Amino acid sequence: MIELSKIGKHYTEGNTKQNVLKDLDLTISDGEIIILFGKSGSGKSTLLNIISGIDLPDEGSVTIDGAKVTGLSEKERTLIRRNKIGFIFQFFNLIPTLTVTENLQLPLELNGIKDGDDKITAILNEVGLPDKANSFPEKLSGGEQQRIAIARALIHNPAIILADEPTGNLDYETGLQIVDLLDRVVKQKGKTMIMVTHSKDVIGLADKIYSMKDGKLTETLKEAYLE
Amino acid sequence: MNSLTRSSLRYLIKHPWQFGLSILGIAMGVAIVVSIDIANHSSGKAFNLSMNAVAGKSTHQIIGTSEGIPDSIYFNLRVRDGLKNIAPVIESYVSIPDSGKKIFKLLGVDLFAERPFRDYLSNTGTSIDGELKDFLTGPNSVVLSNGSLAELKMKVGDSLKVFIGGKERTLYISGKITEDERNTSTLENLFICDIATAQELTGKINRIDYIDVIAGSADEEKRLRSILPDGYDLQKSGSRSQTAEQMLEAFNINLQSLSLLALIVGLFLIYNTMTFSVVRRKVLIGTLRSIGVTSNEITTMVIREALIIGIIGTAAGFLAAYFISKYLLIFISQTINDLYYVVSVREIYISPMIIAKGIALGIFATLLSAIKPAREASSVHPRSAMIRSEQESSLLKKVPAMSITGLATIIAGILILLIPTKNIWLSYFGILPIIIGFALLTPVIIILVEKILSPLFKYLFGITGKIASRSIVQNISRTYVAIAALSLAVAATVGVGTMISSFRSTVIDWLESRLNADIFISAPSLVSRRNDAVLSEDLLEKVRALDEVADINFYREIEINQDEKTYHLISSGISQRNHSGFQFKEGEPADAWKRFEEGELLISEPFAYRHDLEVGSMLALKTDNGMREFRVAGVYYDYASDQGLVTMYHTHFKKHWNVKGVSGISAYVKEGFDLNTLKEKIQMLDTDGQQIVVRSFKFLRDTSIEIFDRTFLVAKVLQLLSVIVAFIGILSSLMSLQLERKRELGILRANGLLPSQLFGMVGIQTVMMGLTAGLLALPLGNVLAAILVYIINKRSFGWTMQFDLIPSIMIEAILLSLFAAILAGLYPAYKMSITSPANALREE
Ligand SMILES: Nc1ncnc2c1ncn2[C@@H]1O[C@H](COP(=O)(O)OP(=O)(O)O)[C@@H](O)[C@H]1O
Ligand SMILES: [Mg+2]
Repeated sequence: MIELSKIGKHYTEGNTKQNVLKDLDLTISDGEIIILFGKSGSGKSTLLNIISGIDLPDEGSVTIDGAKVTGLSEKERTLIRRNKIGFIFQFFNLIPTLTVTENLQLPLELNGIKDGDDKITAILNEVGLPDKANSFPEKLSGGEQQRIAIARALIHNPAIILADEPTGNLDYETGLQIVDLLDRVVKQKGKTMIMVTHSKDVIGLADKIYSMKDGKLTETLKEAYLE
Repeated sequence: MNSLTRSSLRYLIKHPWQFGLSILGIAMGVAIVVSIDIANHSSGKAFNLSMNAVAGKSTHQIIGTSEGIPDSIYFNLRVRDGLKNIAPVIESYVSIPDSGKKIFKLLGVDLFAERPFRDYLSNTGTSIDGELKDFLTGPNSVVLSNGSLAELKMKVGDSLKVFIGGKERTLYISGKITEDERNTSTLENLFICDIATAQELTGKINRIDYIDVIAGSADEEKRLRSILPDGYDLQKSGSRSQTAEQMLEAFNINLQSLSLLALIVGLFLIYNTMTFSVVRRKVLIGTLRSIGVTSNEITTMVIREALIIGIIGTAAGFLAAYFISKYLLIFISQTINDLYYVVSVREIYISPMIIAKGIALGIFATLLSAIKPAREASSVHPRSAMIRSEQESSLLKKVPAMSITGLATIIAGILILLIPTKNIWLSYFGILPIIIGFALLTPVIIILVEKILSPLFKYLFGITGKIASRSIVQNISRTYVAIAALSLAVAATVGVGTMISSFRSTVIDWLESRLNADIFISAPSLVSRRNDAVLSEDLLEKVRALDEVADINFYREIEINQDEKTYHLISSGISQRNHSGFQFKEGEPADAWKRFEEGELLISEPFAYRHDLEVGSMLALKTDNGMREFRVAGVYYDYASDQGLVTMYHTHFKKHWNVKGVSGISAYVKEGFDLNTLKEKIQMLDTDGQQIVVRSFKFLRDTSIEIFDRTFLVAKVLQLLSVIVAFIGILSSLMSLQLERKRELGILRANGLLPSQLFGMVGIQTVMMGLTAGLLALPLGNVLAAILVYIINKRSFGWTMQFDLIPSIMIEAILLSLFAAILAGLYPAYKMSITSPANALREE
């Protein structure tokens, strides 16, 4: 379970202070899939970063499975992140210096998981790219890169997936394939996911939908979008 | 300012690290080149000024035989032949024990004849204060300039203790010369006295050193020549400065070449920065092109950025050079005093040539290194938003071609080096293609090293190790320049270090076999490598007669000035025991020694090289009885003088030169006698006031090695400076590399990599780069050493040296490059590890 309470985050540039997040509360139960809409610059990425402990809020607290992340050191936050969270980015963000297999080995290794070869084969099959095991990211198409990125986010079996506009940089068709994949490997496996997106095609996955405005979240009924 | 310039300037300001570091790199390169130039120029200028002070307005000098000119000859010329514009001169050195070993020049002149020559003396009534009568006739009276008096903290009327030719004397300061602006520096080093006083002080009784002449026309010169007695010569006034310049030529060129090395390393640095800034701005440049900026404008933009670096760097370099040169000057004039001649440099002189050369080098180097990046920038296609990995793979594709070009360049360099020439510049020029060739081979070697090390690093450090090692190859267009620059600087360290070491052990071997006597006696000398003071032959006999002495060697060194050149001739009273100490390069030893004792010459290797002589050649020497030809019987290895030596057996020498005294004596202790007793006994001998230095073999060997090491101090300092420049290079390239990988590192952090792990990863990468550079430096360094030993030194000084591979230097080289790389990596690694991943990810 993820609990955010009274989160505030602001940036000061020069002498203007910008409140990105303000008094924000959110509770996410295990296995829930949350979709986050909002204009560019409204603070969605900032929120994901705060949940993952990449960034710290200026006010408020984040609790994951009972542990208060906001009170932890940088190192402790990192250890929680590597173990519990998988990240999916808009720009795929595979490590260019590593092959597909090696990119997948990375989280396993960081979590001290041995004998990952079977896992890698399995997940490559799952994302439909078993023959790309030894390719470098630059040789893959955008959709393929994003599949590998999803595989990387999942391979160490984290409980939480954070996805920041995963289809934002893909064409429509490919985007649908990615949504389909997320449905199979995230939703059907009962993982928690928070996904930022602009695409209406993902609504089918969602348990709850929020939109971000003026540093706050408002829940929208799923049905409102389905019409 | 148009917006293109503005954007470009902002880029510079926004990347202070890179641009600051490349400015520093160029500044250091320029500073080193310029300061070496200034130091060389200043020492030369100081010598010339002192020569000019002595020569005054004279156009020529009449030089006599080895022992100078008898008074009578001068009087004959003046009275019998009615020559008016001539003046006698005695020159010697005065060393002042209490003044921190300062050396002044003693100039003995005849005031009556002086008037036309040295104008600072001619107007004696007004410009020489004090009593003219004392100045002329008082015992041991000298006059000094105001400046010299101040320097010595003395005043008119004081007495001071000095050494002249190894004998202690007390001088009385009877007057001072007031300088005007024209001659301040001219008078700085002079003690002036009457010629008779000088004769007494120097022990040159009834003799003078040379006669100054003002010959207004060619006719006058001709007439003079016709009345000069046999064995006398008319020499142009400037020729002594010229000889001095020639003596130092090789020494200077070698220093200059070493200093250029630092600039070459600096050049790599700019190249690296400019390439990086272009690659990083590909998207921006593509955008500019798409909105209508021409490719020429892009080229101009990049070149202009480079020029800004070049100009600021060069200016800063000059400023630094001004300070560095003061210190270099101390080392360099020390070496000149050790090896060549007495010079005392008190001021820094900068010539327009030096400034022009420094500016040209700084700016030219900058432009040269900006050409390729500028071309690359101009070839960016409009709307190109190429991701960098594509650019990198295109460099990877070029690796085979680069390697082949590299090999070809190296071969070209070797061919240049094989050209038989005595031109040192050309020889150094041949090294350049070899360096460039190595740089071109660097990428392929990096790839190979990575292939080998990558599995190892993966085994040791896991995935992070692999990312570390692989990103070196993936970013090869940048990493290779930094690695090449570091390995070049380290290779230079290996090269120069190995050369010095090889040379050193050659010299030590030579010293040990040559100095095979037990005790060495000489007079204190001003130029360490030469004995300019003499001992009496009496002393020689006294030493020979001692009970403890089994046998002795002795020699006398004289300078012969002929054909505007100075030859060093040794009259040798060598004992049979010492024959084994000579290794012959040419000539069969038994035969050579036999012929030597019959009057033929043995010449040292540098002499043979300089004058193109071999066994059987005839050499004409100016004896006291006119020119005589001598046959060369052997060429021996000798490292005492790079000017070369001519050796003649003493009994034959005596037939041709009327020279008394010996420069050095060495003695063998009889079996069963004690060395220290002998030493004490020699020190007790009555030397008639002559100071003598009695040294054991070990002491002499150690002082010789000390001088040797001092000589190479500057070289060592220079190569250290290039390592610093290379260090800046690797620092700047690691900074930019990590900067560019910010996002990648951010992703790793998002995935759970700890800051410490990130630090470690950047560290591993750094270690790998350092290791690669070190490994590369070993072959290049030893090749450079071999070139220095077999080609450069041989051509500069004519010395054959052994060449040793020195493991300790190679281990040091690897450690040095590792250390430099690690030190350079610390900051970027730290900086990256503390960067918030949120920030790193935000940037796109
Ligand atoms: N490190 C930062 N410094 C200053 N402003 C920032 C920083 N990170 C984010 N912001 C600002 O916070 C706001 C929200 O950013 P972000 O969370 O990335 O928005 P979104 O992902 O919704 O498009 C933006 O206006 C952005 O400019
Ligand atoms: Mg965002």
